[in-house]
Amino acid sequence: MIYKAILNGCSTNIVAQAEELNGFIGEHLCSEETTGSTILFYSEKEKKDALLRLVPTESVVLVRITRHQSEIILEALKAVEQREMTHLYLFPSGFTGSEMAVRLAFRMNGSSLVQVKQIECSDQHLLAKKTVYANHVLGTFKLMKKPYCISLAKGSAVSQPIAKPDKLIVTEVDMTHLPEDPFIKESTSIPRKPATDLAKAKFLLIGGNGMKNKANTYRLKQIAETIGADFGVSRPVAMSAWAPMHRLIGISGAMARADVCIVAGVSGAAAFYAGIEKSKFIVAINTDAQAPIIKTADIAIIDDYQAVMDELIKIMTI
Amino acid sequence: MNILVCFKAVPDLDKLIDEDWVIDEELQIDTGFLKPILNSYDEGALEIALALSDASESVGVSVELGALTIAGTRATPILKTLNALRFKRVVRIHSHDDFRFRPMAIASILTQYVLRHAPQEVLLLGRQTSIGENERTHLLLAEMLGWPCITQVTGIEPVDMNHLMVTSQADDGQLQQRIQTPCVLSIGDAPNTYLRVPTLIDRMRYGKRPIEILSSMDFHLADETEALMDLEVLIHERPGILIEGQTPEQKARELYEVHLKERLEKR
Amino acid sequence: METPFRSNRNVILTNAIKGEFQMSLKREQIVEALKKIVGEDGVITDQQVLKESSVDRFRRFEAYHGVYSLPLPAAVVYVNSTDAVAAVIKFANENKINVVPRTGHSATEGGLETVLENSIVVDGSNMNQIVDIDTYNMQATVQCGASLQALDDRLRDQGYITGHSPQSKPLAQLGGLVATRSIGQLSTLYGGIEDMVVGLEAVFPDGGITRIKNVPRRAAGPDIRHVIIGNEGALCYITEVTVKIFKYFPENNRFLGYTLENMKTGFEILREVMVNGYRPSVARLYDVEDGSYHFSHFAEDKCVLIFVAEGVKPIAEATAIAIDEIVTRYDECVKADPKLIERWFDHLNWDPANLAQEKTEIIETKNVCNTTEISANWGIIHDIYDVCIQRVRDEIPDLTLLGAHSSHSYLNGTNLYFVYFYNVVDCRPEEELAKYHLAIKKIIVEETIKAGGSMCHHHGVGKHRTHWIEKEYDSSYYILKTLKRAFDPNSIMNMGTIIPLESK
Repeated sequence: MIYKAILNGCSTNIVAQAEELNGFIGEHLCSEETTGSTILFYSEKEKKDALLRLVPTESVVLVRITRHQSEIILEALKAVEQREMTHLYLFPSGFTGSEMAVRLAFRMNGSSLVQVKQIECSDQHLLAKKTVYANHVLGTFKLMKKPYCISLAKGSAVSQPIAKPDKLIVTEVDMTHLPEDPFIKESTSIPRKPATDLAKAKFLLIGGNGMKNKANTYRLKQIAETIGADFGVSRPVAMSAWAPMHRLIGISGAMARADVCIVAGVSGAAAFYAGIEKSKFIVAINTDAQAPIIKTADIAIIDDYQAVMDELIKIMTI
Repeated sequence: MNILVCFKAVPDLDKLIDEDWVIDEELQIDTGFLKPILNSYDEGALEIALALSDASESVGVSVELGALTIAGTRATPILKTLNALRFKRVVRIHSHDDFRFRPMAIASILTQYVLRHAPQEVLLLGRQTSIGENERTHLLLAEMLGWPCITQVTGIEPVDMNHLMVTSQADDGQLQQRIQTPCVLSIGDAPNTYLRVPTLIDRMRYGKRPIEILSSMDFHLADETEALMDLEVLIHERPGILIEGQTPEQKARELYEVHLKERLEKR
Repeated sequence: METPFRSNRNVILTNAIKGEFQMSLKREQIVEALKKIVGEDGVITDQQVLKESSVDRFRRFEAYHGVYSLPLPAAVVYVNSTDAVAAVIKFANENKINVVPRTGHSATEGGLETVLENSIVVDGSNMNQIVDIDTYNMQATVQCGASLQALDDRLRDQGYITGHSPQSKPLAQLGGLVATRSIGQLSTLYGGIEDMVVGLEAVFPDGGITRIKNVPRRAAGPDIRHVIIGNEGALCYITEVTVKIFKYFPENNRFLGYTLENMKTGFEILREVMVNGYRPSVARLYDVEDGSYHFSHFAEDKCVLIFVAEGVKPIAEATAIAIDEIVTRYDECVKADPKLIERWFDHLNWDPANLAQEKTEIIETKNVCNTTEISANWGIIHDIYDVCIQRVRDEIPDLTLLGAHSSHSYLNGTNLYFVYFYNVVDCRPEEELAKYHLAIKKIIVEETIKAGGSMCHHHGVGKHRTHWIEKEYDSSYYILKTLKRAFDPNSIMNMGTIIPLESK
C-alpha cells in the first residue's frame, strides 16, 4: 500500500494537522507492506524550513503555490502525482481536507470517504469506518476504487509530535504558475480569533441549553476561568449566538480529550457526546434525570447547575 | 436567477429510545413510525434561499426558487409547506430506494435534472444528512457539472444577475467570496436558520399547487465507489453514579471532595 | 367596561388614582424586612430575575424579546419551610403587599404575573422534599416544590404512579399543579388533580397554617379541600400536598389509533365510550389541522382518534377490545399502527432541552403557538367547535395553524383544546397578545359561554379570562366573591387572578 499524506502548509493550524496525521499513520499504516510520503503545500518561502520539521514521513514533496485554493491544490496534485501509483491519499481533518478528498477522488476516478475514524488495508480494497446516524452508529465502508482518498475524523487518532527523521528526502516543485479559480472574483479571509484549542484542554467546563440565555453563558464562562477550566458550549448554544462558534464542542466543533470534563445543562445527545467521549472523567449536572448525558457520564448530579457551580467555586477558591 | 434547494426529509432521531437502536439484516434501522422532519442543514438551506430571494428584489435581481427531493410520498407534507412558502418549482423525484449512503447516485440524478429538465444558476444543499453524514453529495454534484462549489456556507447576499457574495466558515476563520454563477453552495453551521412558517391563507392559496413528480427510474444512477459493509450501534457506557444530597451545595461538596480534588491536583 | 386586553398597567394606574391599593412600604423597606425574615440568601433582587419573575409563559413572546411591560416585583423570596411562608405572608398581609405564590414557573395564563407595584413573588421550589410514600394506604405526601417528574420517577421504581401527567410534567411542581386544578393526559382513568388530592397544608393571609387530614372520604360539612384546590394563589399558599398513588402496570398498556373524516363522528364515538362506562386512560380526538401537526405521517387530511387502555390485565384488555368494537362500527374509521401511537405518546411532554430552543425559534421565525381550553356537554360541543373555528379563521390575521383536539372526556361531556399558531406581523412584541392571542381567546370564550359551556377547562383563569368571570359564574359568582373577601380581606393574594382587579 503506497500512501501520501497531504499537508496544508498555508494553514495556521499546520502543527495540529501534522501531528494528527502522524498519529493516524502510526496507528494504521506502520506495517511492512506500506510505504508513504508527504505532499506539503506552502506559499510563503520564509516558512519552508519550519514546515520541513513537520513532515510525518521520511520523504516529502514540497509544492510551492500562490495561494491555497481548491482548484490550485487539485491541479497541483494531479500534476505531481501523474506518474505515481499512489493507492491512498490521507487528508487532514477539517473542512479543506474533506473537500479535497472528495474532489480528488472524483477526478482520479477513485473512492472517497470523509471523517474516517479507522481503516483496514488489504490488497483488494480499503475498509474505512466513520460515524453515521448522528453519531449513534459506526458504519464500515469498503472503498472499491483506487486511489482511496480519505479525510480523517477529528480525534480519530492520538496526535503524535513529529520525531526528527535521520534523513528527510525532499523534492521541491514549483506550481506557482497555476491560475486561480476563475469563478471566484474576490476573496477575503477573516481569521478566527486565536483561542484555546479546546481539543487540547485538560479541564473542561461545558454549558448547554440549560443555561437558558447569553448572560448565564457568560457567567458560566467566568466560573470556568475562576476554577481554571477551559470553557466550551454545545451546538444549540453556539447556534443561538450565546457564545462564539470557536467554543463549540461536538462533531461540528472541537473534540475534547480532557482529563476532567464537567457538563452543565447539556442534554447530551449523541452528536454532542462525540465531542467529549474520549475524556477520562465526565461529570454531568442537569435538572432532567432522563437526559441522555446522565447515563453516559461517570458522575451525575440532578440539580440546578448554577447552585452547584456557585458552591464549587466557593470550595475551590478557598 | 434560478435557485434550486435540494433537501431531504429524515426521521427525527431524537425521538428514538435506546431500545430502538437495532440494526437488522438489511443494515436498516426501523424508523418508519417516526414523523419525517426536514434535515436540519437542509432547513437552513431553504430559509437561506428564501432570505436570498427577499434580498435579491432590492438589488433588482429576479429570483425563481425551487425545491427538490428524492423521496417517497412521506415527503409530501413538507413539499406542500414549501409550496405555501412560494417556492415556484416544487419537485419530488419518486423513489423508495435506499439512498442513505449513495451520494454518487443522488448527484447524478441532480445533474441530469439540471441539465435536462430545469437549468439553474444556484444549487443549494445542506452539508450532510443526519443519517448518512456523507458530506460528499454537493462536491460530487459540482464535479459532475463542472461548477465551483463553496462549502460550509453561512450566508449569501445577492450582487447582481451573475454574482453572489458568499460567507463561509473555513478551517482558519471565515471566508467572504464573490462568486460567479452557476455554482453549488453547501450550507454549513449557519446560525439561527429556522424555516419560516406559512400562514393558513398561504397554505390554502398556494399549498395545493401541483408538485412536479418524476421517477428515479427516468434517470441514470451513477455507481457508488464505496459500499456499506456493516453498521454497529455505538454504546456509550459509563457508570452514571448519581450524587444524592439534600441541597445542591451538599452535592457540590461531595463532588469535589470525593471525585474532583484528587483528579484536579494530579494534572 | 374595560376591554380585557388593555395592559394591566393601565388598570393599576387607574386604581392608584382611586387610591384603592395603598402601599405603606417602599421597595427597599420591603426587601430589608424580607431579608430579616428569611435571611439574605433567600431574597433575590437581581434585575433579570425580577423581570423574568414578573411574567409566566403567557407573555413569553414579549419576554423573549426582552420586553417586560409589567411592574417588576420588589423581590423574589425563596422559602424553605411552611413557617417561613407563614412569616412572609403575614408580613405582606400586615403591609398590604401583593403576594404571588410560585413553584414550577410553568403557568400559561398569566397567573404568575405581578400586576401590582412592588409585589413579592414567593417561590416554594426549594421545598422539594418527598415527605412520605405510603404504599399501604396508597398515598404520597410531598412539599409544594416537589417536582412531579421526580415523584413519579421515584414511584415508578416501586411499581406505582401518580397517574397525573400534564405536558408540563418535567417542569411542574405539586403546589402549582394543585393551585391551578390541573389535569393530566391520563385523566380519563385517573381523574384530574381534584380526584387525586387526599389532604393538604396551606398558609392563609393572616399567617395561619391549616392542615387537612388524609381520610378516604367524609361528610363533615362541605369539602373544604375545594377552597384550596384551584385557588390559583388568590386565597392561600399551598405548602404540602398528599396525593393518591396507583399501581402501575405499563406492560398491560394497549394503544389504539384511527383516522376518520369528521369531528362529529369523533365526538359520537368518544361519547359512546364514556357513556357505556369504559375508562381508557387516554381518549383523544384531533381535527385535521391539529392532527396534521402530529400525525401527518399516517393521517394526511384526516381527523385522528387515539385511545390508551391501562391498568390490570383483564381490564386493560377488555377496555381495548370494547373500544375497538365501538370504533369499528363506524365505516369511516381506519385503524392505524399501534406502534405509531405508542411512540408519539412517549414524546408528548415538554422537553426541557427544547424549551430553551423555543426562544431562538420564536425570535427567528416570529411564529408563536398558543392555546385556549374549554369544556361543554356532549350536546353542544360540536357546535362550539364549528363556530369557534369558523370565526377565528375569518376574523384573525396571520394564522399559520388553527385546530383543536378533545383530550379529557367525561360521562356528560368533554373538553376542547384549541391550538393556534400565528406569525407576528407588523406588531411590537408588547402588542402581540392583544392583536392575536387575546383576540382569539375572546372569540372562543364568548362563544363557549354563550352556548352554555365553561371557558376554562384546566389551565386556570389566570389574569386574562377574569373579564368574563361573572358571566362564567352567573348567580354563583356570589360564592366565589365571598370566598375571596373572607380569606383575603386585605387583597394581598395574587391580585388580578380569577377575580378582576377592578371588581368590588
